[in-house]
Amino acid sequence: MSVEKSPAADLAGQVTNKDPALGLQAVVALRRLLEELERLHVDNARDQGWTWQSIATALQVSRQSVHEKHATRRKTTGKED
Amino acid sequence: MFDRYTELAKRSLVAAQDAALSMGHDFIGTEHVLLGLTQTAGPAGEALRAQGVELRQARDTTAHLLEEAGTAATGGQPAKDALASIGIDVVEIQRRADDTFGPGAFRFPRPQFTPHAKKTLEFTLREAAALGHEQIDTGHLLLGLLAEGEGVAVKVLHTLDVDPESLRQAVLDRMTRQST
Repeated sequence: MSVEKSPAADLAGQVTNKDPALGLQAVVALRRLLEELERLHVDNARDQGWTWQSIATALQVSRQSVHEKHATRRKTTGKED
Repeated sequence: MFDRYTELAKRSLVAAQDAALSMGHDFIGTEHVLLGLTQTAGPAGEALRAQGVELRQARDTTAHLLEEAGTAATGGQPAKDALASIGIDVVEIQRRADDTFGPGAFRFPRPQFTPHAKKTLEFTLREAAALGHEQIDTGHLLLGLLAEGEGVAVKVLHTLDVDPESLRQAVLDRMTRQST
């Protein structure tokens, strides 16, 4: 059996790094990544004809909140009428 | 939020985002809004050019001021590194997203408006309301920038020897001429 640290153990070490600055920076970056992925996949769903309601259900949020967040943006950028 | 913006005004904000990206910034500040307006047609761009503000010079001044202020132009590398530290490979996500959805659909980190830039957008609405205008054009954005008055944009204008008051008057003149 290898005594070297596995990549997973190494990763776990970083996730639980005791330096708050590092941990919080990763949280902020992750939040931005989440927002970007949501935008990407909402756009894709709309382009494929999904209703706002079905997107909201899939995202487990209200129709109103998903519409508020994405509909105006899509109109502004000319992706939707 | 931008549904009352004219095509030109929207285009100027897209140009602002492009300016931020090309300068390696992961935020859209008043300075980028100014650069966006400088390179877009309409009353704001015309007034700026008439006051001697040219894109290249404005861009160099912006880069210089931000560098002096110690603002990072890292293209969001720290955010990518932070994600790498918890095992998320943004380069790989980018590659796959580009393959599947086409280039540009996914962008990380997507530049976000700074607090001063958000303030500018609020002032822009107020300027339009004060003038009784329904539509928001590039002129209102420039008036908003000047009214906000605390972002890097006004520092850039100051460095370029532009007097905010005469710029304000110049853009107002063009807007009234346009609407008559």
